[in-house]
Amino acid sequence: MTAEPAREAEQEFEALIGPLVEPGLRLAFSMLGNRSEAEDATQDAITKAWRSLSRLRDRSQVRPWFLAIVANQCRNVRRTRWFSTVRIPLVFQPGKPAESHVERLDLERELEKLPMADRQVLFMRFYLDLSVDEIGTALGISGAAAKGRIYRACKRLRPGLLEEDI
Amino acid sequence: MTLRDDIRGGFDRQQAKLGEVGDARHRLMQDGLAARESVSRRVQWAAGIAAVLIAALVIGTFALVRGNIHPQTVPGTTPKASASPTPLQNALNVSDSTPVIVYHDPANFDQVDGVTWDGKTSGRIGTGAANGGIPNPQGTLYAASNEIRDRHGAVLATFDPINVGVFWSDDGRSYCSVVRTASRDMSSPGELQLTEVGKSPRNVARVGSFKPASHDGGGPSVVACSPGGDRAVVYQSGGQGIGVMQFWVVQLSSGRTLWTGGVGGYIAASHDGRYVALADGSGHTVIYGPGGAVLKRLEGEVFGFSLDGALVVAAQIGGAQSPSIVNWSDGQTIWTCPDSTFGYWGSFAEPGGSQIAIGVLDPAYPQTGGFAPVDLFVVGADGIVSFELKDVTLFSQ
Repeated sequence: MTAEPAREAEQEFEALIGPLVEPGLRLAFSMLGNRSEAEDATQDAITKAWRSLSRLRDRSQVRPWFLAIVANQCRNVRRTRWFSTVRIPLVFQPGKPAESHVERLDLERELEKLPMADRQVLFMRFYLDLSVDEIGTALGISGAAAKGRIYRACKRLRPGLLEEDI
Repeated sequence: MTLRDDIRGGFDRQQAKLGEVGDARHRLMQDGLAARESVSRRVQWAAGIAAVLIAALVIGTFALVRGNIHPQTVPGTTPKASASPTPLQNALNVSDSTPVIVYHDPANFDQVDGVTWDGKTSGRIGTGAANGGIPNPQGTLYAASNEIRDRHGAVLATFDPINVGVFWSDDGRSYCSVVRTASRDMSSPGELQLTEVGKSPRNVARVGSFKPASHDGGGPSVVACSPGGDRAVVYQSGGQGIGVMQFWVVQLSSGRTLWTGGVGGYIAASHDGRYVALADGSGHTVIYGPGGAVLKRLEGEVFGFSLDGALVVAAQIGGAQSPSIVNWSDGQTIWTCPDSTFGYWGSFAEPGGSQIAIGVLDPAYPQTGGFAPVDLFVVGADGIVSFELKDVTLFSQ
């Protein structure tokens, strides 16, 4: 590839993926609980996205596609973190308790206790605002399965939860 | 404050610990692009570590040789090697039509393994599963990315994963989906479609409605699809994709709504669409019969059925506790998870049989992201566990 077309390809890639770097980094941080590892995973995901961009047939799917790559990188980091025991991310550890924040801290503790997979699906839905279909695409599951996971995760947080409370 | 607001607030506080990210976009993009032609840092690390290990091995061997030549007076202790799981190497040696339970290989997530429902034969099926996939009930085909593949990895058909949510039929040869009838940025009715793999979709009926894609997570979804039973069950979820606003039992051949119901917290249906289990959101479930009559009320929430619809998979508190298998007609619990604190994760019904495979979250295995490793119990209609797999990550329908 000569310099000019290569530069154009880079610019197109940056325009497509650039807006997703921060959501990707935040997703990685929510999964790994460590900024350095989250940046590594995101950077590796960018490299992989570049190499496999030709396989992305529908550009409207770029968000779940890229986040799926990030999630996969995080999974690999956790799988290959052989040099230390897998630790529960400290990111949910509450600060100093205060009377007025008891409920908030309860929820944070409950979030911390959720299985990682449940926490991830809540993060995608309620923080990154991914649609159910996008979550399904990112996780390689059906929309119905994604809904089921969101439902179960919410119920685990709030056993008495009613639909209108959400 | 709704739970949504609470959850978002919790994640906001978590993300605050990430610190300033303003510079990250440009830096990570540049570094990511710079690394595209080079060997990744992790590979460089691995190469470095390998070099060190090789050096240590050489030195160790040298020392051992010297030790053998000059016996030491003080015997050294023998290090205990811990078992290291390796991916399954043998190919799954069964006919292409033999139903199997598919799962991610415990040692290589990208690899798809399968085990027959009697637990006697297992092996490697293929690769390319890093981003998940949706297998049919027989485990003979699976939808991944935008392709439908067979066990050999051959692409049989493609689909649009954003607009078409694949829900496999009970015979495994076709799938149901509800698609938008207008562009994604507009509200529109849903269209239930039945698609035989490799053929064009057939419109069955208008059912439910979609809001603009940016609006929320609601919209209709399929929970049963049975060309043989001539039924599909579709439900309309609430605003965040949670809860059941209404459900419809639709005749696939005519598009006619046979009966409809709602409202509830969670819905499951038997594979032929004859029975519907609707949890009310407060820990109880109603089982409805083929015509919509209430047949039974159960404690707990129902998440799945055996193939013949006689057994249900139930659990408490959104699946967080006490996964069990229940004969719903007499209310008898035929199997309970050995540890009631294990959470329910997923279940599959044996094609052509009566067993249920139920995956439960075992805290012994570290979570690895959006995919959870589970203990998988394969349980017969008599409640006896025929076999168990540990630390496997399932695909989900």
